[in-house]
Amino acid sequence: MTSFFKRRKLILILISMVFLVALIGFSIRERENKTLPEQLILDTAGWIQSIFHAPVSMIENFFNHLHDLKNTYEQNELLKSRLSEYKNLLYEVQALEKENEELRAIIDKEKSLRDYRTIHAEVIARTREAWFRQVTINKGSQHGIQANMAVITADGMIGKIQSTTPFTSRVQLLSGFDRNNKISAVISDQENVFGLIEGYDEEKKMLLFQSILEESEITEGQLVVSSGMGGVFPSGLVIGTVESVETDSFGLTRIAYVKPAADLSNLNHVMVIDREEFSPALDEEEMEEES
Amino acid sequence: MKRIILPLFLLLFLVLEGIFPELVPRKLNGSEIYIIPYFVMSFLILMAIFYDYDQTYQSIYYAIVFGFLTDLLYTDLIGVYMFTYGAVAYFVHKFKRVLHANFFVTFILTLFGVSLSDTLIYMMYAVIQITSMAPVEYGMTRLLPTVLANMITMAVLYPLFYRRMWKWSEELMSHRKTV
Repeated sequence: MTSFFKRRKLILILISMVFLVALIGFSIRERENKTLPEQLILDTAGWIQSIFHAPVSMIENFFNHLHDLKNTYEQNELLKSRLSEYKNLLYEVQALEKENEELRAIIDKEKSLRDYRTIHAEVIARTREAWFRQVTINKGSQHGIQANMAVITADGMIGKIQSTTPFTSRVQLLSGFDRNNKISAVISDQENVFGLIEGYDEEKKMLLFQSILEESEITEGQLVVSSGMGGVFPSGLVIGTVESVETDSFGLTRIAYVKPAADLSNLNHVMVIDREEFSPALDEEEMEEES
Repeated sequence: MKRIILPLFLLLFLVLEGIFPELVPRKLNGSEIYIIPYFVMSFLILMAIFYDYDQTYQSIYYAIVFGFLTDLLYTDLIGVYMFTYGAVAYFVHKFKRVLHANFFVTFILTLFGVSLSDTLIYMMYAVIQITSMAPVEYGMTRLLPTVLANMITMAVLYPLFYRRMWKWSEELMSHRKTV
């Protein structure tokens, strides 16, 4: 009898091991849509999280405001001196915008790679497991969010939507990007230097920008923006600034280390980019219908 | 009400685990550190020590359910936390049979439980290549701060809950006898 119980315990351990491996195997795939029970749990938890998050963010904001108050005077002086410059700039931009519109009308091109609509959202939770570079936001597929949309803050790009449920979605941060999540990017003042953001260097805390051409001139301090060529993200989203440039181990391409423009560790309000222009990744179904 | 009070507390801690990372510093002397909250784990250890009798296994059942929820909510991999929480709750449940339930023992079992679960999670994530952190770096930047922070958590939770656990536990027992 006792040996039977011992054997039963052993069998139980073995079964749970197999179960564990099966579960991990099932969930390790890249999944854009969660299963229905998962969606239910995630939405319920998201609702509770947003309730608890409100007072926390209030306290956080209060301290941030206190911090801001300290240097208000100096900032004010500086801003006043800049104000007149901006006024001139504004007129210039308006004139350019009008001209741009007219020119577009001439060549009959309504949409450009730059056009997008933003959906405002708030971060309601970070993941407790620091190795998954993710945050949860309080808008989901009901608000028009789909997987693979770009997510930005006022400073620059922070990541992309990984998966959605009806009322929440999960954002993969730039620091969690790997070879499966490349961003087509370009150096902003040299339109011909194309390349890809290939991943994230954990030690240096910087993104790897790999340029297509070896002879392309990349210098420190240049701005890297998304090019819009990847089909998923619109062009003109600020990604970061070049910190250092190295030639890769094969001597074929140049690798630039890019410091993300947005602060990835302190996120509160974010914007999700809904790209209007035709993009192969999001509009595949439409295309199938047409053909 | 009495039946759902424990799951309610566990749910509260589960949600707080997602908000907590926004409040703790991520850098110490310029180097990055990871402080992972184990509120649910700490509460489960308290449950295993004070709530469960030798022949009841409530803490292990709750460990498996809330491990599963943690997996769903905070990671993309289902199974890692479920297995870890279940295993740790089982070991704590075993150990408390031979130890007296007091503050010192709770402290030691928390130290044991949190470091075991974090190491198990690290090992599993290392095998499936979620992380590529070297073991020494892991020990210094994640294990040590996490264990220290959770000892402090336990020092707060213990005086709040241990009497209540006993009370709830007696209610559980009397309920069983009447049924």
